[in-house]
Amino acid sequence: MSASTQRLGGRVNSQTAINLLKSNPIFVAIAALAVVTSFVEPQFLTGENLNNIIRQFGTLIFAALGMTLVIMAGFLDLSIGGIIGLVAVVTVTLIDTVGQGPAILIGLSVGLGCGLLNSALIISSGALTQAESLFITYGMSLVYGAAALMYVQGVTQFLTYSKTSIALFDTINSGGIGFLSVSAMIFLVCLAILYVIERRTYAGRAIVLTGGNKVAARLAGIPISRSIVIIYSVSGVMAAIGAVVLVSRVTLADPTMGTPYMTQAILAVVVGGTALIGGRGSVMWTVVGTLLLILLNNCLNLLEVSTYVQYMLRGAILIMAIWLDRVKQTSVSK
Amino acid sequence: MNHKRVTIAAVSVVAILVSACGSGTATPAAPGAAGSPAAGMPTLAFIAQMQNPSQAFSWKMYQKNAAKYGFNVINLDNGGDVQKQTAAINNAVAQKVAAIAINPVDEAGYVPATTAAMSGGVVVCLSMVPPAAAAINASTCSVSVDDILGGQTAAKAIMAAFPNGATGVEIGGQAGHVAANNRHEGFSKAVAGTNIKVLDYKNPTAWDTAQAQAIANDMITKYGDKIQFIFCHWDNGATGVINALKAVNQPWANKVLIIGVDGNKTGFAQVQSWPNYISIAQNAETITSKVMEQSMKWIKKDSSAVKANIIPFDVITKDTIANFTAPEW
Repeated sequence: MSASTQRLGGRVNSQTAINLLKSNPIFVAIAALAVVTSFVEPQFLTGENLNNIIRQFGTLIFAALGMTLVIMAGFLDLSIGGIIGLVAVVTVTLIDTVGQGPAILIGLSVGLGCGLLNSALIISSGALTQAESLFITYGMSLVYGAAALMYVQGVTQFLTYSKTSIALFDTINSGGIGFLSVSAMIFLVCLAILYVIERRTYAGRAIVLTGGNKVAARLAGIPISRSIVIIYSVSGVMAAIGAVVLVSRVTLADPTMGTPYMTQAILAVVVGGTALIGGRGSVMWTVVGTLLLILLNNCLNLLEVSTYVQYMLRGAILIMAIWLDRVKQTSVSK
Repeated sequence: MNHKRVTIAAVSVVAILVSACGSGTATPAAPGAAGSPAAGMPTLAFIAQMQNPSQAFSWKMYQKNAAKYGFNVINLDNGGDVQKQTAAINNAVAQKVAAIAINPVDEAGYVPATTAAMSGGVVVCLSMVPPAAAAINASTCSVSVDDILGGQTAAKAIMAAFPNGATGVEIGGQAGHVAANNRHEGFSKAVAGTNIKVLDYKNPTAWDTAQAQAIANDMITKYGDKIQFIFCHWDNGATGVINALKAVNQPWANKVLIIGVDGNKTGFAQVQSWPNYISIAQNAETITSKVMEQSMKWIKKDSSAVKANIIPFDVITKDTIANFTAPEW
């Protein structure tokens, strides 16, 4: 390669990087925060903190990965809060009765069942707008949450009180091969499967087309109903996997423990760059979005920023992400 | 045709779920319970966030002892939301209850609704929390532990454990919650000017163990072995703190004194399992019984009725645990 070609290649690469940063100012802002934190707080760049950040990746990434397909298809799923709580209590309470492996499988099946029920309600009601799906799934979140509360009478269930082995949960929490933890392995497998579905299958393309324009997709013969069943089933299962990982980490199951993930998952997807109105996005972007959110929390905690200011910043970031997305959409359509 | 089948299946499943979950605005005491409806007895409505395990357990205690104090009891969920709480209070009044026992969402959101209820002759008793200074006249009476005292009790326990001074952190309860504010206030004032230094204070968005654990992880990363104590505002949150300390896998982490509040089943278990754990306990059965006793006195206009009833905290340590019975929640 000649020197002039190398210089040209360098210019193109730097231009690409500049364009990428220009189109993702949230990335830049959080990266800047990380740089500032690393100067102010030396503990930020330690291996211990990196391990801490990876541990906190946990449940949110699974919920957000499932949510990505839902948002790409132009819908929303607020039921994941209820599903996480329900799966958590069902799984923990069944350990002594059926054993840890079957309990986890039943928990995952509950997640799948909830997802299928959501899709059945959305298809049967003909709810094709994002707002309709939001209200239906919010309603179902209340139903699942109430079912979880009824199931355990509001009482927190403790993994450590189990009379039979909980080694599987211990392994999910702290086991691993080399530097890779078991929960990280589960995450990588899920990511690979979802990425293949998104990029290499007809179902994945149908989801994107459904999100782009539902009426046009239907007229073009895209099976919208099938897309809805797939996205909500995946979301239900991913929320259930998140619940199992969460239970393994905190060693208890509380009927309300999924509530915070309901909005955080949407935030992670949108901050990652997936269009809130659908038709554009990727599970890979969501990984970045989730990492940024966890990094943000970690930086703000290490910088001793007040809890209330942290809430405000999270809200501001969500609004900024949606606003920037609209700006991008407008500039593309021009 | 397919859509019809899907609709019928979906509606059936939802109907089963809904019927399984119960319906209606108020939940009466379970049949056969000591507090099951009896003719002629006045009704007391218990309004609280039923997703909160301590309130779910309180409801059980109301049901258990209702007949003893001469009440039928019903339950209305405020869902942790001021608007729903107002609706629940109005619903209780519409159902002509004689008394309302309420564990409010915040310090003052209930004031307009309870003031209206009281003007209609309903006795309003705050359950487990004292009234805020600005809301003294919005309830007939209150029965509570004093959360400010709870914070002070935690501070005294730390001072006793570290007479030569110590550094540590505080993990609060749900941001903005009255109990969290009061526990923090009592704790801060008690340690001010002493040799106990609080390095950091953070609140989660809810009484959520996972969030408490994440906050503890970040604090441990930042302060490491400077942390000699962790005051966590609730025992279930302290479970997350313990998980975070275990994950550090360092000898100093096992020596950290943890103080939780609630005195629930978890608190009792952690007093026994963690090397150095203290649970500041509120006794739900004593509190709910006192609410019903005082409510009945106010209904009967008994001159011995007391407006502000404070139930002292129990301090559960390895040395004192044998003196107490672990609650089921």
